Amino acid sequence: MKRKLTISMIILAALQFFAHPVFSQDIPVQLQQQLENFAHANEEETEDDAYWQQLEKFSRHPLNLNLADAEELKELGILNELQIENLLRYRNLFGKLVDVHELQAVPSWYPALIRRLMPFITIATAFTAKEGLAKRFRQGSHSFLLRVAQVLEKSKGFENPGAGTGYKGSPQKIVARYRYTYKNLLQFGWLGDKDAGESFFRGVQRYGFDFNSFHLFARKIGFVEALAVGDFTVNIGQGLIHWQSLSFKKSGETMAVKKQSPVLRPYNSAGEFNFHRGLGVTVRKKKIEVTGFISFRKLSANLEKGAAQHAVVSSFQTSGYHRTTAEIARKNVLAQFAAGAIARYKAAGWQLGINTVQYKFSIPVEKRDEPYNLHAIKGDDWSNYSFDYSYTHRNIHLFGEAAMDKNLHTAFINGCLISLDSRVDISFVHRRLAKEYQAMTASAFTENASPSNENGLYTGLSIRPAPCWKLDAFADIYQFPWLKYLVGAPSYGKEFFLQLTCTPDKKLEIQTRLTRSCRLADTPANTTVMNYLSAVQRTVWQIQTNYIMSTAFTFRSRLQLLWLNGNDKENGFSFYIDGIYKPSLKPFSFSVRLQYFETSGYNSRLYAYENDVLYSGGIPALFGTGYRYYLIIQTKPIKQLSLGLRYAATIYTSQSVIGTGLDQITGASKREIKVQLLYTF
Amino acid sequence: MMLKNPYVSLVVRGTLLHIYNDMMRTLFLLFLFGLYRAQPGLTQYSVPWNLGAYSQQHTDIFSFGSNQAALAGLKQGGIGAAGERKYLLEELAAYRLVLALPSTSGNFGFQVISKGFSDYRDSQFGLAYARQLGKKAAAGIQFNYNNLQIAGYGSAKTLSAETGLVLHLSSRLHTGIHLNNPGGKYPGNKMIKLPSVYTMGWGYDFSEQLFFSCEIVKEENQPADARVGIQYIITPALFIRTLIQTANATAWFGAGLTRNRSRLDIYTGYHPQLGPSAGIQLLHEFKKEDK
Repeated sequence: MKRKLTISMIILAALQFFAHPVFSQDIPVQLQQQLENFAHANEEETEDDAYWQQLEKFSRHPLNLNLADAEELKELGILNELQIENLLRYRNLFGKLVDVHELQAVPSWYPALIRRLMPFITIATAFTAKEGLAKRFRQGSHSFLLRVAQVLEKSKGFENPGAGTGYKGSPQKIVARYRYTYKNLLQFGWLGDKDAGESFFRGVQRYGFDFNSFHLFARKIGFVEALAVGDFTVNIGQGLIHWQSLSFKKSGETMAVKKQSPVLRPYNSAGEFNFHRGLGVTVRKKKIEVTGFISFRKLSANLEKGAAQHAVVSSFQTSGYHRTTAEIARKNVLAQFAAGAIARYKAAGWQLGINTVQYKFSIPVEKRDEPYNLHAIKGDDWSNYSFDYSYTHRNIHLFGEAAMDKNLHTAFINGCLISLDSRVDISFVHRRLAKEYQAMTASAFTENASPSNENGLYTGLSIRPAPCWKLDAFADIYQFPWLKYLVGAPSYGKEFFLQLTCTPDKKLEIQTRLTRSCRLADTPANTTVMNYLSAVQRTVWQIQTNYIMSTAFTFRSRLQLLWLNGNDKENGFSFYIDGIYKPSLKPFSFSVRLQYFETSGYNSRLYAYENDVLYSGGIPALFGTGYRYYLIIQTKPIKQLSLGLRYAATIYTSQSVIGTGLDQITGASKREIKVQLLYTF
Repeated sequence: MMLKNPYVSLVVRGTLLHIYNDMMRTLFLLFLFGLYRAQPGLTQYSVPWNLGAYSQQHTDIFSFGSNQAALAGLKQGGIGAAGERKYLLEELAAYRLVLALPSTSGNFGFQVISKGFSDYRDSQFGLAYARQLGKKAAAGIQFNYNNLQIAGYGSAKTLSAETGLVLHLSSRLHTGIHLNNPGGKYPGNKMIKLPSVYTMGWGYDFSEQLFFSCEIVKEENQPADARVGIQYIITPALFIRTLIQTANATAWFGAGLTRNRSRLDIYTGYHPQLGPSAGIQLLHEFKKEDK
């Protein structure tokens, strides 16, 4: 006993002596809410963790606001276009910033925004060192990440491993990632991903991971603004013809309505669909910037016999799962060739771009012969063209994109941001997208998941009546001129949002919000010959508190209530408390959540962002009645090594079966364990 | 034919009457049970009993009924008693006795609640403990012995626990959470379950005279209930309070008199279908010890 005690004391003392403070980084609450909205709209979590990688990069190498250009400021993902423009103008007018407090003098910048930016920025003397290629390859940092997660309960798919229709592989999800980065100027790396149920060094995955991704990305090499080799994403204009990075739509950030991103971005995430593989380059000469890319890759898709009895692609498999015989058979059956060109003229206060994207497929695409698919993409090639613009005049910022597809159908999106007063901002987005208009990998500021078949007007308002108060509101009214999936007639809808945030000091934030939406959908369990549409009203109220009680301890709570009034009335309730203990200069941190949820069904499901091991987060959809809790332990025994452990469990009180199909678990609880190792050198 | 025989007829009528009485009694008990279920749990408190849990200036010895952490804020101990008749029905009477005892290592509370009548009695004996966690927070816990007794059906007994946390976000603004019996059951009895109740509350001390409170109370499988209350101390001797409860649409009004260390207050509630309710509370604070 005494010996054990002595050993424990020695280990504790060693940890204290050698230990390095745990990196304390949380993504901003606003971003968490945007991710929740994304999960709700898409009914799935995103695997694109580029936002985490960006924030990690900026926290290691804070952006110097005295040197940052518009593109780098956009990469932060926190500032809107008017705030970026105002900072650049302020810098031009008054010279370099002297202190971070000076940021409050920049029009449309306010204390809460600056606090949110603080971990990722710095105000340093402007100093530009020459960053030669050799230096970039020598003086950067390497990081290796290994993350293993597993659901402890055995689901139906794992009952007879490798046999019949079940999963062929083991239940672990494994992500391994190596990355080399030198500031924002060079990065290259590899990522391997094995989903739960996929084989590993066996079967069709005999070389290891089911998905491998390589990338090399360099910025600012002479007149070459960006160079991408391997996997990368392409983001154009307002997303009408092409947008691959994670992008958000309506949210509590009512001014974040303009899509903003550099055209080329490195891709290093576990998602297996939204990226290109090939070569991309952006060159700049004075005010003209030209980007070209060429990509060839294979995609997983469902093949069926088309009208002419030839094999056609009826749908793309975007999940990246290759666990069963059927899923493996769909793997990489389609070859996709893509190329594009983007030319942009950038002047002070305005810019104009002209863009095109071309696709060629090895097998023609022909979606199922359903009325809602009447205008869907068809054929073995596709192309889109657009021009986009932005213009800033004093306190007004205008932006937009006009697009056309292969069949000359058009889509328009136009918006403006106006700073009416130092305390009042307003935004508008109007979109008119023909019901026939289609684009392959696009994502614009629309209600629909892909930009097509929609007319609408969005109006956003942000008021800061006093330093500690912020009121955000938006109204979005839209219509769909043609049918949609599970909406068998032209329809319309509306959404209203009101959010009040109180930040009396640096330690406390209380936020309450009300969202009310109404849309039309097919009447479920309809017995008449023709189905008809009925209104579905959804109202969600939530209040949350974020309270930094001391330098080490943070308390968070959230209460959510949901009312769904359609043909079936449903209610939802969720309540959680978080405790986060991160003592400064200590080698460990803990995070705990306790949650109770109660919803009438899947339609009244609720989402809540969950903390996870370093550089990741989770947003499970919670429905039914039960409890959920998790515990995260992070430790950093030596400076280079960070270890994370997460244990999460959901316990249902009113059901004995969880999930459906091969993911079905017999029992009332679902537990998940995750271990992560991050080594930086 | 058989009914023509007066003896047989009498027996049948007597049996039918007996069955009818039993049915009515069962229905009445079920009705009462339903009314109780409309409240936040079998052993939950009456709404006007506990105002002031999320405050630093308006907390009294009754407050810990809705959040045990409020007990930690008491500077002196005291004893209190309350009685209530819901919808003026004798069968829906409720009585409560509380005792609060501060100590240097945290404050202790004792509570007895009895609801119902001889044929349907729901009782709870609770022992609470709370202490400050620094200047900004307080936490409390309470262990209960619950006994539900229904004539002809026997009784069910169980232990339960509830815990609460109150955070003082500023000198005026306070928030807190309360978990009552998460996941608890009556052991060996599948017919009834002691409900789990989850509460989030906020309070704002406008001044020493005026206090505003809001609680969202969610009992499992029941609609969420919002309870908004205001208390105004007109003079040191007189105060008034009002509460609105949304789940069963009841408005409560109360007034009280304070003299020396004792307080007497009465209140009444009105439900649009079930009519008025009435209650009385008596409180006596112990003498402050001279240091």
